[in-house]
Amino acid sequence: MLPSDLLVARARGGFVYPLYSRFLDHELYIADQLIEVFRSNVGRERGKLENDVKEIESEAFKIGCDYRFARGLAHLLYRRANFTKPEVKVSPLKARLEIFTEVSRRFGGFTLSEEEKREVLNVVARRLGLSVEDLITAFRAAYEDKEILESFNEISAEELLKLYNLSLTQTLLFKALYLIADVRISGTDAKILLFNVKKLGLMYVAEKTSDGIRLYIDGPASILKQTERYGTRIAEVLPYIMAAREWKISAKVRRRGRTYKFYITNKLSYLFPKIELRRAEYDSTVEEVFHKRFQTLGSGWDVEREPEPLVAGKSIFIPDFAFVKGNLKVYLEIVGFWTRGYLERKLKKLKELKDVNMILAVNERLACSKISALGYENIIYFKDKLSAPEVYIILRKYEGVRLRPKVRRRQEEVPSIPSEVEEFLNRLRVAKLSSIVSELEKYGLSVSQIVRILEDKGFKVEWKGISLDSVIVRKTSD
Amino acid sequence: MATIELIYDRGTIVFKPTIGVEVPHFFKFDKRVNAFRALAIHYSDALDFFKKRGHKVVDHVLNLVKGDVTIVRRLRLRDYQGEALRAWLRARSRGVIVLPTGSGKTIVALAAIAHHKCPTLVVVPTLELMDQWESKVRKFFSTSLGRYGGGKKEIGFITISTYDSAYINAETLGNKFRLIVFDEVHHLPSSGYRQIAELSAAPYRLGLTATPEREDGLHVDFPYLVGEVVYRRGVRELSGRYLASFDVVTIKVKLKEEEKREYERLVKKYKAYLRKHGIRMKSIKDFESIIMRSGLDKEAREALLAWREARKIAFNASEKMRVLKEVLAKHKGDKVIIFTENTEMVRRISEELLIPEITYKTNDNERKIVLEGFRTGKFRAIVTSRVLEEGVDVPDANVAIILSGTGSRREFIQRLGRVLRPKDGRAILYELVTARTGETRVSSKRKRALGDTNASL
Repeated sequence: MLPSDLLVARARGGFVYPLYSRFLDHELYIADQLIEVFRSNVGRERGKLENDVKEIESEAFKIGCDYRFARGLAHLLYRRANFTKPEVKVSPLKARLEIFTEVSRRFGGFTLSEEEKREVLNVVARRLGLSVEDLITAFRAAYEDKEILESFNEISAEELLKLYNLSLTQTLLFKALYLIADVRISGTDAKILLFNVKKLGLMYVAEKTSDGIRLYIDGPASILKQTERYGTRIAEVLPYIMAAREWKISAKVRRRGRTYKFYITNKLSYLFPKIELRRAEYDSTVEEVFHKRFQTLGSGWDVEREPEPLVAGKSIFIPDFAFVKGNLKVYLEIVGFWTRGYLERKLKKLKELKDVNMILAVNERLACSKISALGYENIIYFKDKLSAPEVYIILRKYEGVRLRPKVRRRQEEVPSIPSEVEEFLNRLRVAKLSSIVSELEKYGLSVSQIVRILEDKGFKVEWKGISLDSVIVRKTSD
Repeated sequence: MATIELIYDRGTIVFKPTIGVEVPHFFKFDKRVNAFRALAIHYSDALDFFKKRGHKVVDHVLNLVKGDVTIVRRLRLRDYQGEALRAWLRARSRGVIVLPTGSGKTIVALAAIAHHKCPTLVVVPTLELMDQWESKVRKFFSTSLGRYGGGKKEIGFITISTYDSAYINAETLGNKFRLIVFDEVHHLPSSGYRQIAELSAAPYRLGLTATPEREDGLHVDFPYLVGEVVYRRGVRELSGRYLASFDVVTIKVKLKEEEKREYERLVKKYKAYLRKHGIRMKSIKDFESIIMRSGLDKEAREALLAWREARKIAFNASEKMRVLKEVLAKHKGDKVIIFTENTEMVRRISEELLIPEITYKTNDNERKIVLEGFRTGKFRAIVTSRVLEEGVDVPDANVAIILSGTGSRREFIQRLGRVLRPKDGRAILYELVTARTGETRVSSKRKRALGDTNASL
């Protein structure tokens, strides 16, 4: 983002658009020059760097660039620069205060001649055990232009211009009254986008469109008065929108006392840096463990980690998983910290999602209020870890199998049970599932198959958690 | 009668549609949340409205900072300060008090806090004023004190914030205080800062200023944002008895021959551009149009640079340095403040004369120590750019020297105010003006401004 006075934009016919760099030769040249100035000044004083930058700025102007263009690039480069304080023998503050105190004591507040000045510097230098030069160096070290450019985060000319284009757009949005984004977006990206919208204190309304989702973004007070208040925050949201597969942005923007429309689509995305949001990180270990467990279950359902977001009423619902089998699609949403009110609102939201199959997994440990009947069919409560087989049991319902106290295996899926297994089970009374699995794995049975066999044989499988250690298997027919 | 649940949501107040409840006009239906929403400034009005109609309000709006304030030193109010406080209390603890700089506006605000003993947000323009308020609060009260701004984000029973931070964090601060004090309240009505008032639910509001009028006329919004002007006294009514008297000495400084030639060359260049393009400089708008053209238009840019260069010469004529030394020679040991708008000049004076400098670049720690040292007399002189512009208390300074300035009415009065702090003896204000350049006009304008003030107060 740039200071507002470096925004270069044109207004025409009610529209405003930033003057983007199109990577023309002279623009690349200026960008290269500036980068070189920063590179070559590493280890030198800031004042020297600033002078060199100013020279490039006036050179840019001479070859027909807007001076705000060069200054904008320089602004972005300064942000990639690290400055350190110069080395001194005594802290600048100490040196300065000693000098000022001495001047007031000796000469009533100021030195009016070279002799007086030398006298003060000599006295203070001697007192601090320094040479006069070292004292003067320390005195001046308080000035910003004496800082040393320690390092500079390299960037190519083209990338710098792309970054500049993004910053120009954000700077234009500083004065945005609201923003409308049409996006085709993955669930994870939508989650990151909406998380940031909320974190910044903005509000959104979502709408389903023929080819994606439309988001209206503004702030709480926006319905009461047209305000630029949320502009800087809307600008911060921009990269998250641009990370979508496809995007269209329109905004109402104030400029010099008038209101303009701004419109841009991903057709111009080649002008901007490629935005990669941090992804593939699970929101919580619960989800990660569940995902791994479900995949090893051999259930025949495919799991998607990034299902597309769903529009529920005016807001967006982003499930954690989608399970796909043929034409069937079932979503799973894991609820972490919750209160009864939160859960009720969530369920209300779910009811607005017609024709959508949804399982809700609620973490009991993170409950802030007591659980009681909430009247939602597909709800699983869990502690610490979500049981993959339990979810599978619900999924089977969608396969057309009615859920019974015991899950009835379907004919074609019946694993043939080796006689050794039968014997083992006949002896079994109570055991941890983990030990049963380690015993039976060698017969080529998956965990879910083992569970089904156990239930068929009249064992009660108590799910205390997903860890096989915490699943207790008990013979009930005895 | 109906029950209404009123909640606070990030600078606004919200209630759900309720059968049998008429909706006040300042609420609007927000379909994003299916509820009525209003700016938090209408909180008191909303309560009045519902109560008058006999509704029960379940009020979740204020979430006040917990704590207490104890008075550790008695606040002695001068007559007019007491009158001002009573006028404000009569107006249901809302309104603006207008008093000249140096007359102790802060004490009136402290008395208001002492009266209500409620969580209070104080909004000030500069970090220096934050420091100053902090030391005043600590002097009279024992309480938890928070600083909000300049890198700090602490909330206390009494919280002091800059306008900038209060604007940015208006949603967070909006329901935590019952009283909000706007120091130098003439800043408030601008399109950004006003939101501090609009997004706040605080029922008690106090504005302080010496100069309520704004050139853009927005001071008409005081009644809505803070309250009516409830008390007003001018310099003339208080001078002599409460305010130190002062002399203004204008010294015209001639340009050196080569500076003068260069100055005239630059002015000619600038004026030629104006003539060629038929631009008449009537207002700041005309000037802005040149700046806008200067983006790509070489001529415009050169004209602009010529103007800046000429201004620099006029403001920083090398002769001024010599004259400054002459003036200073007469005031060794006095408490002297030197003002100049140009930070390069500040640095030059500081380095050459070894005077502590205060600019927006001065580090926090050094600024505090220097100002405190100046107060106690450890440092006898300081040189500063615009950071001390408003209301900063520099007691006992008896000499001020202005080396440059833009000659606006408010700025001049406020700056004068700094040497007007009640003290023994007289205060002198020197103006060093470049002769036969634009600057002489600035100087006479200043005097007129002063005349105006005296006449109108």
